[in-house]
Amino acid sequence: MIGELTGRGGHDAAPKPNNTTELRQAIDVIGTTARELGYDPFTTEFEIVPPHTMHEIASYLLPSRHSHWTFGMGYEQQKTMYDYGVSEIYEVVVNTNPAQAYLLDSNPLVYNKLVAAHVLGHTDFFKHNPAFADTNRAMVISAGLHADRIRQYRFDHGEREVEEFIDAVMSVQWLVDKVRPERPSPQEYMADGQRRYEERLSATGYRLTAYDDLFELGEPKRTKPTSGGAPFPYGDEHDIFWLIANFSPKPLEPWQKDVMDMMRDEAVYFTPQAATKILNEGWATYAHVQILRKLDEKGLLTGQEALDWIDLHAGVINPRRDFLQPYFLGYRMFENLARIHKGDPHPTGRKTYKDWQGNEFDESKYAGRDEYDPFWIRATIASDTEFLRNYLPPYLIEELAGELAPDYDGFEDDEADSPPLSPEEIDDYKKEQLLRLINDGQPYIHIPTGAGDYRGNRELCLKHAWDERGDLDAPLIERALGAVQFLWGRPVHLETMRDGETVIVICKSNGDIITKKVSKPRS
Amino acid sequence: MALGGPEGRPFYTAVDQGNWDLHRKGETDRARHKDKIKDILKANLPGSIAGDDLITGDGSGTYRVRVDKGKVEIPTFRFKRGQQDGMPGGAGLTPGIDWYEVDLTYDEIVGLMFDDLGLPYLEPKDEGAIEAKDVQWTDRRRRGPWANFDKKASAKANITRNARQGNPAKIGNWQDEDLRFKAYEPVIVPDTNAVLIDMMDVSGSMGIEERYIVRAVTLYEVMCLRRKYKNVEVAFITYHTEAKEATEKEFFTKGESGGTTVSSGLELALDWIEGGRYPPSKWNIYPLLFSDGLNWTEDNQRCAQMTSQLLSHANLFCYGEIRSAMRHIPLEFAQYYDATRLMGAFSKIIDPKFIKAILHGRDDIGPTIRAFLPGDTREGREGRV
Repeated sequence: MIGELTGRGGHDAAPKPNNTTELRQAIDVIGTTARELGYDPFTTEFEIVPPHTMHEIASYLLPSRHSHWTFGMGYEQQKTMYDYGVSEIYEVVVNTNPAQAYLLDSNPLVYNKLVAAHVLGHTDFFKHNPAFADTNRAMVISAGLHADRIRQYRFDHGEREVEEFIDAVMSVQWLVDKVRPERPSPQEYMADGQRRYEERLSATGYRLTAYDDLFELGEPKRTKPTSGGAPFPYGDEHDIFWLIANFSPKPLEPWQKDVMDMMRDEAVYFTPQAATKILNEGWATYAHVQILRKLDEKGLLTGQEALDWIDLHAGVINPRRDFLQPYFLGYRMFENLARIHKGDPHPTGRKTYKDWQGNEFDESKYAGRDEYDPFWIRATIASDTEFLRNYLPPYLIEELAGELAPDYDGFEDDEADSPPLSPEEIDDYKKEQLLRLINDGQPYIHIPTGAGDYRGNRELCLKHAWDERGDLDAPLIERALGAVQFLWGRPVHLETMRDGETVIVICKSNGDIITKKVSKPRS
Repeated sequence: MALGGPEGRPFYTAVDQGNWDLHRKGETDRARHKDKIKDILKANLPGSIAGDDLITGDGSGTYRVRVDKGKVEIPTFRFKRGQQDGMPGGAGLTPGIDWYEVDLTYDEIVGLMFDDLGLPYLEPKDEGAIEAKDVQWTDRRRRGPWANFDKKASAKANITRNARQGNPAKIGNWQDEDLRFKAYEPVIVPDTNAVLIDMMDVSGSMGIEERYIVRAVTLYEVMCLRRKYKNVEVAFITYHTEAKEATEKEFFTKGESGGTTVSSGLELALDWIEGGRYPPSKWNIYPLLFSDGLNWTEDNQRCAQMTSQLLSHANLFCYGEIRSAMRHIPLEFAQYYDATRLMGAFSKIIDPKFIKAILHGRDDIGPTIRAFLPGDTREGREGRV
C-alpha cells in the first residue's frame, strides 16, 4: 500500500467537522517543525475527505485509476470493516511530486495533526529512499490518462470483453522485474539477442546449448535449436508481464497491448512500496513521534491533545498477533537504532549482546556512526529484507515477540514469566519472518532461456524456483495459468514442485489443465 | 504568516475540503462486483441447496448457499496457505478451495432460482376470481321478500322490543321494525386440502442438474397450489425397483443404482389414495411424476394402467420425462425414441387432466411449467407455450 495509517476501529471521539483553517495552520507548524528536525519531504497537497472517499482511494490506490470490479471488492471490504468498527484508515498518501495526501473529515483535529506529521514522514521517505528513485512522480496524471483510454476501449470493444481481458492481466500483474524494470523495445531486444548469439557462435565455434535448460517431457533431448537463430528469450527472463505484452503469439490486438503496457506501468510503480512496507511505516511513525514530541516541547499542544495523540499512537503500533505488523516492527527498530546512534544505553543497562554470528556486539562503538543514523538508513536501505537482516538483533526479537498478543506461537503473554528463548528459537523465528518477506511474499517465477518458443511451437514455459516457503496453491495457480494461456494464445507450461516431486502443469489451447510428474529431477 | 521552509517552498500547496458526494466510482465498481457474485450464486444453486427444506419448509428460515471464493477473486501465482504453520497434525486449512457462505431468504433463493431458469412470472393472486362455493343463510335483515319471512326471529325481536319498552314480554303490538327476513351471504370456502405427490426415479441418470430441474418444477407447482388451497401437503416418493416414501432432503440427495420399475412408484401413490391416507373425498390430488423414460418394457403396460387409475382420482397429473442425454438428437428422430420410452406407453392415454412434457435440459423448464399450469401464467392463458 502507499502508506496508510490504520488504527483500531471505532474510536470514541465524536466526529467533528474539521476546521480547514485550523488544520492549515497546524500543518504549517508541523511542516516547520519537521524541517527543523531534518526532514525534507516533497511538497504535499492535503485533501480532507469523507469516509467513503477514503475507502475508495485506499482501494484504488490512485485517485484517478481505471475502474474494475476488484477495486469495488476492496472498497466494499473497507467500508464493511469501517461500518462494523473493525478498522479505520486515517490517511492515504500517494507517491508523487507534489505528493497527495488524504485525511478523514470525521477525525478530530488532534488525530489529523498526528496523521499530517505521519504523512510528511512518508513523503520524506518517498523523496529520499533509493527504492523510489525511478518511480513516476506524476503517476496520478498518468493513471488518469490510462483510465481515459481504457474507458474508450470499453466503449469501442465491449465492457465484458475488456473486463475479461483486464481480469487475465491481473493474474500476471506482479510478475514484473522488480530489480530492473526498464526494458528495450521488442525490436531492440530481438536484435540484441541475435547479435549476442552470433558473437558467441564466432567466439566459441559451437552452437549454444541453451535448449538444455528446457525440461523434456519424455522427448529425446535436443541438441540443436530448431530455429536457426538465437533462443527466445536469449537469457532468463524475470519480467513475464513484459514478455507476454510484447511477444504474445496470440497475437494481442493493439488495444490489448496498450492495456497491458498501461497496467505494467502501474504495477512497476507500486512494487517499491510492497518491498519497503516496514521501513516506510516505521519511518513515518518514528517521524510523527519526533514531530509531536517537539510540538509538545514547544507548548503548541493543549493538555488534552498531548494525551490524545499518545493514545492514537499506541493504537497504531499495537502489533496484535503479527510480528511483522509494519508500524510496530518498523517503529521499534527505528527507535532502537536511533538510541544506539545517540549513544544512549539500553534501558536494562546492558552494553553488549551477541549478534547473529554469535560475536559480541558492543553498541557504544556505533554511536554517531552513519549506519545507525535513521536519516542515513532511510536514504540507503532499499528493502525490508535488508532492514531486518541488519537492524534486528536477537535481543530485540525476543523483546518484541514477548509483546505480541497471547498464544502466539507459544510465547507467553506475561513477560516476567516467559522463559528466555534459546538462540536457536530466536534464529528460527527471524528466519521465519524473513521468509515471509522474500520477494514481497511472492514465489519466484521466471522464463528460462529459450522457453518462449518451446518445441519450436511458440509454447511458453514458466519455471517456479522452489524455495523453503513451500508449494504453490494448486487450484489457484491452475486458474492463473489459464489466464496466462489466454494472454499467450498457445499452450503454457509451468514447472514447479509438489509434495517433493517435480511436476509440470500444462494449460492447453482448449483450456484443459493436465499435470505431469517428471521422473527424473531437474538439474 | 509566510509559507514555506528554508528554500521558501511550501510544505503544502493546499489543504482543501471539497465536496465528494458525486464521486461514486467505488459504488459503481462495487455494484459490478455484486453482480458477479450473483451470477456465481446462481451457478452454485443446484449443488448448494440439495438438502434443504425449500419445498416443505414454511419459508421463514434462511438458506445457505456457498460461493467459491476463488471465482470471485483474481487467481494469482501464490503459495499454498497453512503449510508453514509447522504443527504436525494441527488443524490445517482445507486445502485448495475457499468458500464463503451467503445466507439467503426464501424469497431471495426462489427469486434467484427462477431468474436463473427463466421461469414465468407468477401472477399476483386475484381475489375476485375465486368464485363463491357456497351460501350461508345466516343473515337476518329487516327487509326482504315474504317468501323469506323468518317467523321465529321476528317473534323474538317483537318480544324483546316489548320488554324493552316496559310492556309485558310476549308477542303482540307488531311493528314494522320487528320483522325479520332471511338473507344469504355468499361464502367463499376455499378448497381446503391439496396434496402434491412427487414421484421421481432415483437411478443414476438423475444427477445434480436433473434434480435441480425437478426441484424447480415441483416448487413452482407447490407455489401455485398454495395460492388456491388453504392446506397444501407435499409427499415424496422415490422409486427404482421398489418405491419408498422420502423426506424432501432424501428425495433430492439419495441415489440408487440398478433397474427401474416406474409402476412401483405409481402403485405406492395409488395405495395412499385408495388406502385412506389421501382419500379423494377430502383431498385434491396432484400427482407429479418424473423419470428419464427408461423402464422395464414389460412394466410399461402396468404403468399405463396405473396412470389411468390415478387419473380417475386426480385433479391434474403431470409427467416430466427428463432426457438430458438426448439434447443433441434432432426432433424428427425423437419420435423413434418415444416408442421405447415411457412416453410411448403414455401416448395412448388422452385425458385433459394428463399433461406430458419432455425436458432435455433446464431451458425446457419454462415451457414445461407453462404447459403444466396454464392458468397460472399469462402466457399459458393466452395459449402460448
